[in-house]
Amino acid sequence: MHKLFRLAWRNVWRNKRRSLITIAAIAFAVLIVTVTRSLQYGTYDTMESMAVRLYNGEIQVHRTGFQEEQTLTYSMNQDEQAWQEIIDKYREFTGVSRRVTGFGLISSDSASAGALIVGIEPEQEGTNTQFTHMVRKGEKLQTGDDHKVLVGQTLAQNLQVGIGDTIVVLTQGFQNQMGADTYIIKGLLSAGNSDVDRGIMVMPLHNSQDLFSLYDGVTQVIYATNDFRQAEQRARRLATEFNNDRLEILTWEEMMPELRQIIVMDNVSGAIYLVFLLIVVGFEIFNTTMMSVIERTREFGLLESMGMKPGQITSLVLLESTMKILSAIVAGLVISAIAIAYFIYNPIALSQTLQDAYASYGFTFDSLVFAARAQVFIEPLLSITIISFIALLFPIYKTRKLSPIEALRKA
Amino acid sequence: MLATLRLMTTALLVLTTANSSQAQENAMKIIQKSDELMRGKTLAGKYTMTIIRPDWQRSMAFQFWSEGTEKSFIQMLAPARDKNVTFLKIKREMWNYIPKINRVIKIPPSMMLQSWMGSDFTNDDLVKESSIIEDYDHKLLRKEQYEGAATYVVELKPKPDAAVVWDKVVEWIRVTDYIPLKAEYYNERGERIRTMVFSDITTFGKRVIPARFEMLEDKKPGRKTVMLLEDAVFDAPIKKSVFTKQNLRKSR
Amino acid sequence: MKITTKIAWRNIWRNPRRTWVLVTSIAIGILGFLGTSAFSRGFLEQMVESTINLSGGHVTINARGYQDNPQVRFRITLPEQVEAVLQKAGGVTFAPLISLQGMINSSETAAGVQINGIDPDKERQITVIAKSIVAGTYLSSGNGAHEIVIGNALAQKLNVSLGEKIVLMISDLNNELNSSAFRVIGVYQTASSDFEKRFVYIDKHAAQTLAGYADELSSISIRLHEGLLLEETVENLQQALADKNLEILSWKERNPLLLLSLEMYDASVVIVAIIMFIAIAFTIANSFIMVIYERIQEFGIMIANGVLPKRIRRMLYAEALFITAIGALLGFATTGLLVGYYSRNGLDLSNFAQGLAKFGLSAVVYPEIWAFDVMVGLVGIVLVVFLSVLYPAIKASRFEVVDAIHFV
Repeated sequence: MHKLFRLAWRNVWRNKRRSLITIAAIAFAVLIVTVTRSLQYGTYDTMESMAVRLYNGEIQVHRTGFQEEQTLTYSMNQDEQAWQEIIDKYREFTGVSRRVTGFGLISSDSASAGALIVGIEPEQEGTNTQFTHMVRKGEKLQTGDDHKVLVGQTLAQNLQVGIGDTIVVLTQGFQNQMGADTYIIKGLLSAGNSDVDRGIMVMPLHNSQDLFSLYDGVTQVIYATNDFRQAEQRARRLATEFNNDRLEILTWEEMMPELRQIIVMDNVSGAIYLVFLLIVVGFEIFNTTMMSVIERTREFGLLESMGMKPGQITSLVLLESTMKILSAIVAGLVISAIAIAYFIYNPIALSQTLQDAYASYGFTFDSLVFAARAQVFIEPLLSITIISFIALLFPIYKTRKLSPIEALRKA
Repeated sequence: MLATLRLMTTALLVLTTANSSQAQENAMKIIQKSDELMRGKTLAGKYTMTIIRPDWQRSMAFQFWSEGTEKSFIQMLAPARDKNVTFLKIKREMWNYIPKINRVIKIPPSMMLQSWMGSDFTNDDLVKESSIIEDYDHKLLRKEQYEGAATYVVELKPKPDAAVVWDKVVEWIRVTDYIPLKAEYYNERGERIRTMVFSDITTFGKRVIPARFEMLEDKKPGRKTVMLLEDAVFDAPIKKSVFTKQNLRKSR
Repeated sequence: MKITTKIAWRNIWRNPRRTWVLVTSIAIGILGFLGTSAFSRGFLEQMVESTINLSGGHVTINARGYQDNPQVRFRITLPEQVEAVLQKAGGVTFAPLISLQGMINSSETAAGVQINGIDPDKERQITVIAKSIVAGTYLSSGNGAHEIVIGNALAQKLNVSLGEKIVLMISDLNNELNSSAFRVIGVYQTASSDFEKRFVYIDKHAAQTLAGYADELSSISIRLHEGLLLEETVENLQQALADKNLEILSWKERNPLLLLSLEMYDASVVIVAIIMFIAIAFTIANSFIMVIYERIQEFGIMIANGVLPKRIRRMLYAEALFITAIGALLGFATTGLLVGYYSRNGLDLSNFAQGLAKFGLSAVVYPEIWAFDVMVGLVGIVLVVFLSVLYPAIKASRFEVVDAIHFV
């Protein structure tokens, strides 16, 4: 066995050109698949995290029943849980913000319309979600603002009001108590979605608590984490931490099942590209190994006529190929890592129009994103290894069928 | 109060249909008489309303004026934070005045199915027009003893085109004086959704009517709204200026 | 030249194994490139379709102001004039729509909804609601005065089943409350429970009665037939209907965020296509280079026998041309068969991932082969072949005879 190993090693180096072509082909396949996957995952991650952070945030904590009923009956007391402690205790939770969400009738002197009223903590909300940044006219809310509100752009237009105008809000708050107050418009929101633009109003948290007779209660607590894909596991941590069955803890996947499906769809389409790519690179590998084995038919005939058993020849070829495949994959992975690192540190810029379009919705998205997580490397590693060995089986099978004389006569 | 009255009249009032049978005619007469008893030409009265929920309850008081089914006016008396909040209803439109913000707001359709002042009644219950009454067919089911009195049990079935969510309404009306005692509202699966119970039969001037109305949501146990008519004057003329938008701001 | 061609043709069949390696590398290249581009064309199309199939079609026409403020008063007052223009323009299918913001009321609870009054038969050609019925039936023309189709999620929220009654309430043209009872005859399901909770469907005439319209409409939804350009059509319609105070909007203008993510997807598809092409080029170049190196001995002998290097180069190009032609034919044939099959029957993505089953119709992708992609693929591959033959051919023809013969 040791002898065979040495022979294989020598053979690999004896014909450098042939070996290098094979190794390069496989390494290149690894590189290409890895970079493609990295780009796919990077793009999906970016788009999905944007969707997650647009409004709902990654994890929401409510009084059990709020998600279903969306009424103020399901509100939580301020001191019920130490919301902030989680942030101090666990590094993976990066932000917490509290909200009050309810419905109300918004009126100007000339018209009125129903709208979703969201009470927020401007600073905290701004780091957890995106929608309060989407101010088209006027200014964003700031900590300390009082009786100032952001109104959907179309809603303002329908009410025929603008920045600095006063609007009246009428609601039914906690325990159905009537709430009414007047506010000054500080900014106009536009999320690029007509439903949002004509149906939302944002105000400071304490104003919304007064309006809805909630005292210091809130309806939602939103957590941001350092990886939105880990939301489920983080949510379980919160559940253990709070240990309160009157709270429901929902991840973005539970709040937005449609988004979840779009992600799956993206992954499936990514996988279909991968299949095509693997067909091409798999064929490439097959071709190269096949040719290098067949090129050597005469050599095998010689070995056999010198007394080597067919089984030994197969083992020899298998060993040689394994050496080549392994070194190719290692080389491929190293080059891929360098390439991906390069793209991460030297991003490929998006076209200016696309950048501007994203910027107008408050998103900073200016270059193609490459992901560097384990999946990116593991998938090509496995698929290419499997394909390489499959590509080997056929030529090996062929060499076994040749008789030495035939082999000698051939080529 | 508006809501109760409207619900009651919805349930009680049924106008004639062309080819009604003998039984239907009897049922119609019962309903008509009961309605005549409960509904004056005008009403001015004071109500207290208690909203009961599994974990809290709240009471309020208001003054109420109505003329026929088309016009009514409400002025809140208590609690203090809602004092002098007023409502005006003319036909199917409704306005609301809130002193705190000094505005008159017209209640839009999207708010119509919201609860009125936190009760089990919706704004729509207050403004429903009598046209809905024409939409019922009625039938005398049986006579039976109820709460120690002989009662007619009348079934009201909405006509096919009627904009009514119920499959049927069943009423218990006292044989001797046509006082309504109970109304049950059913959905199309035969499940009872709402129950109204009338009690505390009291004399107001010349009229003897129930002063206490309870409304229960059968699928939401522990919830009910209780209305108490504390004093009432029937058929006295009410100034036209009461049912005006100007009055929303003025009345205090 | 003729002789060179003949020799080349004979050469490629002298060693069929070698030829098939090259032919298949080209065929696989074509399949890979066209397969991915056809899939991504189809996928993008599907993303657009799944949005416009739910509401509105490619283009909608409505009264100016309606998009921002969908109130009863914004209406198309003379729909027959608009329809006449559409009829004349041709190449489009259209359906009337009355959409009213209102409330739906069951015996247990109420909810805000958008009431869509439709012409059942025409709507069928615009949106997928008719195909999304999971219980009961779709509306049928002529007898729908009190029939309603609602979403599954809404049915659960209101706690109503098939055959049961609900009441719709809106503020009509005269600003008066108007309500009417309907029976649930059908329940539909889409990928989105928000959509299901929001849209209910009744007959056009019932909606017009509710709203207090005569034959006015809220909007007209238009689906463009194959080959009609979106922007151009919108522009033409805007010109034709310029004096009617109407808004004519494409799906792009109605869904700016969708458009944005499509553009993003498009950008990443271009990158993936480039990567794919690099992989193909590498495969082809590798195969050609290896095959030519295998034959260096042969070239040496030819040169030794006095064949001009120019002839060898020409022979190699001719061989490459034949091989490319055969490979391309084979590649187009397999791509045609494979992609053709799926573009007719659809590639159901929910077969690959369980989570997609609920997407129903919208998880099916119909790959599309674009002439542009075929051209790009073909030109690219011919170029790659030429370049990969160029270097070894030059080298082969310049070998020292002795070197070449000894080369193993």
